Amino acid sequence: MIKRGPKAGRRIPAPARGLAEQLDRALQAMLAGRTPAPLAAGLTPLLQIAAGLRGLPRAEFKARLAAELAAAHPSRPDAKRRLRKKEGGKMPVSKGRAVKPVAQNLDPVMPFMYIREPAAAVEFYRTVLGARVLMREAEPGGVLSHAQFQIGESRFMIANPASRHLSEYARAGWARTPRDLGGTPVHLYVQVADVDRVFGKALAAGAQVVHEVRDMEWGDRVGGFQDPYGHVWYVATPVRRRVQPDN
Amino acid sequence: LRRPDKTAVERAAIKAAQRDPARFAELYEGNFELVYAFVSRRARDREDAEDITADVFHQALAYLPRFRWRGVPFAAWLLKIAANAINDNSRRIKRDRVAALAEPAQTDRKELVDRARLSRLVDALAPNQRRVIVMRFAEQQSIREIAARLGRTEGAVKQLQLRALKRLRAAMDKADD
Repeated sequence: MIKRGPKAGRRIPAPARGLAEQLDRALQAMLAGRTPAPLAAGLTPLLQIAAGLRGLPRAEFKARLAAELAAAHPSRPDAKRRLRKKEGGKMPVSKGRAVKPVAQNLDPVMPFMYIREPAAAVEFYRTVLGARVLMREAEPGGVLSHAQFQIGESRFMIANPASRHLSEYARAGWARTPRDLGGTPVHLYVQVADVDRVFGKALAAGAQVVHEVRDMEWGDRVGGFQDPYGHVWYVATPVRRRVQPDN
Repeated sequence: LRRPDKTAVERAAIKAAQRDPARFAELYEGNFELVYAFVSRRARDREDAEDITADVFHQALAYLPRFRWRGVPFAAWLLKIAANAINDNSRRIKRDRVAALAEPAQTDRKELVDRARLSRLVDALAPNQRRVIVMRFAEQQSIREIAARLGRTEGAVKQLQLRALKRLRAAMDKADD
C-alpha cells in the first residue's frame, strides 16, 4: 500500500492523471479510512460501489463453511465440538467457532508426488515453474528424500520412494512413481503469467509435449507437458473472457 | 405457468432442511451473502466477520428443528442470530456492548440487500476483472501485490479495477430498474 501524507487526501488530481489512476488513489484513501480527493465526474458512483465491496466475502471461506456445515450433523451434538479448533489464544473460542486452516492464505490442497530423481526435480520445478523451494530434506548419505515448494499460494511436495523412511511404504506399494506405473492418473493445472515462456522452458529442460499451447474455450491459454519424472502439468494464462455456454 | 411464490419456496426449503440437514445447503447458499454483509459491517476485521458468520450458520443449523414459520422471512431469523452472535462476541472480547442490534433497522435493510446483491454480481464478472476485485476487496491486497500475482503491470490492474467497478455499477443500476 502506498503511504501518503495527511494532506494528500485534499489534493486536486492532476488533469493528466488517468481515470483508473484517480479512482485507485481514491480507493486507497477509502480503504485506509481517509477522505478521498475530489474525483472526476463519473467516478463518484464507482467509489460508492467500491464502498459496498468492502467486506466482500472470500470465496474460499464460503466454500469452507459450506463443507463444515455439511459435515456437522445436528443429531450428533459432538460434531461441532470436533470441528472447532482453538487458535493460539488470540480470541476466546465459542460454540460453533469455525475451523481455520493452519496457514490461512494457502490453498488447503497440497499434492504430494513421488519422484526417483528429487534433486533434478527440484531444479526443474524451480527454474521452469518458478517454484520457491521451501524445504529440502536429505538422509544421512546425502540422498534427497523430501522437498516442499510453493507457487503463488499453493504448495506441493515431492518424496523419493528410495529414501529409507519410506521403505515400508514402498514395500506396500504406496510410493510408486509415474515411471513405475507407466503413466499418471493425476494431472496438475497451474496458472502462470506467461504460458508460452514456461512451456518453452519446460521443453528445453527435457519435458515432453502432452498438449501444444493454444487458447481454450474457457478463456485460458494452455500448454500441457510431461516432466522428465513422468508427472503431467498444464500451464495456463487467462487471456480473455470466458465464453458462456448460453451465449 | 405461475411464477412460484418466493415465500412458498422458502418455506419448502426450510421444511426440507428440517427433515434432512443435508438440504440446509440451499438455505446457506441463499442467505450467505446477506448474513456476511450484516456481520462484516459490525465486525472488527475480516477474521472476526468470518468467525461470527460461521457461528451464525452453525447455530442456525443446530436450531433449525425448532424454527416455526410465523410469516417472518428466514433471513430475519438468521439476522437475529447474527445480532446475538455479534453481541456475544463483543462481550467476549471485553469491548463495549454493541447497542441496538436486536434487529437491523428498516433503513439498513436496503443497504444490506444491495451489498449482498453486489457480492453475487462479482461472480458474474469477466474472470480477470473478478480476480482483481476479489484480491483487492476480499483478500485486501495492494495493487502491487495483485499485479505480481497476475503477472500484469500495476497500470493494467488499475484499468481492470476501473472496468470491473463500471460493470458492477451498471449491473446494480439495471437491477434497481
